[in-house]
Amino acid sequence: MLSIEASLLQAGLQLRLQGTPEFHGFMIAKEIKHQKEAKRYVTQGTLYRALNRMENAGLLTSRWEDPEISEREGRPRRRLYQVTASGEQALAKAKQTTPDRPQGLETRKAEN
Amino acid sequence: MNRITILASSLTKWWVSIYTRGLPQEVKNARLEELRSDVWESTNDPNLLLEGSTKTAWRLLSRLVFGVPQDIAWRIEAGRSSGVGNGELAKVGAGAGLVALLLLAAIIGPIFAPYEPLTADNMARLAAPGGHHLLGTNHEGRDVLSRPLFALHLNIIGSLLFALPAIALGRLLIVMPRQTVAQVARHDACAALEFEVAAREILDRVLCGVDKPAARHPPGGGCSESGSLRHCRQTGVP
Repeated sequence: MLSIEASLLQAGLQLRLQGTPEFHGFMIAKEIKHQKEAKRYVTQGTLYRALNRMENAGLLTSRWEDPEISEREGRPRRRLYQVTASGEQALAKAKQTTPDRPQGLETRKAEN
Repeated sequence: MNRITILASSLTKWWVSIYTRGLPQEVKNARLEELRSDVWESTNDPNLLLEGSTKTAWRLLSRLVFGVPQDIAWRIEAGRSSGVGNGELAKVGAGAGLVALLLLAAIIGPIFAPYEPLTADNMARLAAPGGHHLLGTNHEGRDVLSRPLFALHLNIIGSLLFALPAIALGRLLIVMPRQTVAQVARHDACAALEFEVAAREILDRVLCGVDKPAARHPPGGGCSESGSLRHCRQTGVP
């Protein structure tokens, strides 16, 4: 698993713990922006390509937001992603093989 | 959202429309909508707005520019998986490559040109392409390859010198407040109308003579100030 994928999965799970089970691209970009390689990760090309790849691999699922909500809030429709069970398993497996990755959330806690 | 942010988001949308060309409509729309949403979130995030809209615009631009190689990689994958291939992308790439090659030749061409463009070799007039002159010589014995390389340099650099300030001025007009632009446009329209009326007056004086009454002039013409110009001068509206 690539480090960006692990970072996105971990950030997605962290958001779930905080009570936000679904996330959109910009939300997850904000969540991982404190990480070491965040500048490279949060470029639009890298981020959305990774999300697309992870969805194809079954690590994430996505759905389009209800248009009524976006219309009410006066903004474009969001594509909402959610970490799947196989995503959680893949992350756990990745942590076992490379325990020092991903390091984003730990870094953020240390900064706070 | 300020004008610079609008410019950054327009650039993002333009780039998405370029690299999604030729893809099935639903794939294209999904990508465009997702990135439109990203741009909107970036420019309306309350935490980021505190940093100022100019900084937000720069962040948006850097996220776009540094992601370009990944966008192209995504496009290649999407083209393959949707079965439409990457013909459109190849066309855009070939065009961009040609433009880049021309620009490169314009910038560094004179350094690599084998001869001075005006140096004439009387002994090698109309020489065939070969070892000394890769593309041969013309009727004056001047190297055929060196001349376009120097000309390209002068043409492109010279054109850019004029075009870039014009583009910058155009961009400035976009960034300027609408009211100011409208005032400039109104002023220009009035000036054009004044010019037209002055030209007609000169023509009338030549055709009708100075002392002929306006009543003898054909409808619409006349040797007096037109109503529309008077209105323009009074109200500023052409």
